[in-house]
Amino acid sequence: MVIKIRLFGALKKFTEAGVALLEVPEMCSVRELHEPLKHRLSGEFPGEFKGELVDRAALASEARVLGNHEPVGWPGTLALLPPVCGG
Amino acid sequence: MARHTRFVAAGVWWLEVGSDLLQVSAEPFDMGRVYQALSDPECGAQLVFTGVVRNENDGRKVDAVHYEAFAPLAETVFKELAQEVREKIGATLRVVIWHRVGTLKVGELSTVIGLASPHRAESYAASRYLIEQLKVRVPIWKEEHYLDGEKTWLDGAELAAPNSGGNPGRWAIGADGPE
Repeated sequence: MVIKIRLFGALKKFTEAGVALLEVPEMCSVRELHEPLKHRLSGEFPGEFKGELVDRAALASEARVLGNHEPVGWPGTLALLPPVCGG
Repeated sequence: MARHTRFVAAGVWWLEVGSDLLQVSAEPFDMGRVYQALSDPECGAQLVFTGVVRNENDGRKVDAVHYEAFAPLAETVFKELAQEVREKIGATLRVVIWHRVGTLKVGELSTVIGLASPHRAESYAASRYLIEQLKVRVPIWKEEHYLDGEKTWLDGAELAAPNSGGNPGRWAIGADGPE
């Protein structure tokens, strides 16, 4: 299935309009999204993209941050949120 | 009378729950709305904290800061924080949490935390709690723009799902927070 992921902050520049479409297995867990996403972005931005950015980011819906072991097999858009620093 | 109204228009998000004003906005703050939200004849204290874009960070001269937010989740966390201060500090607190997005020049206001309570102690405690929690729990990011033309996204606190044991930046009421 294809998942739509919005990227924010330092991650945003590695996508077009801040959105990445990612092909993942059915019932893929949140944690299992990280590696294909890192592979994809490091391939598109060699030398510039750092995998740590994704490792330190949290995946969220519009309502809450998701746990690493939750499945992502529902329709809709997810968001990848790097470390926050508002205020 | 409790109000439960959500508006989304022209890049402005706001959520009013009861008397609260909980908003992420691209527009400049309307301080009249802040004080209106805090107005309550039962409250003898109003406390308003404002965060301002500073002209220096880590020895670099700052020209502006660009703020970005994941607004739907940010307003949900604002709502959680308002509930938390009522449960932990004072049930009658009125709460304003308002954060701007977009590019703000030095001296512009980025954040407003407003409280009203019958007595000042609750407002002071809640204000400190809210700003410290905002910094580590709300999906907002800032990119500093320096006078030399460079710019960089600032590092911050990693988010974690509730009950996951993560987010070491969480700050307890009564603890000394970071600057």
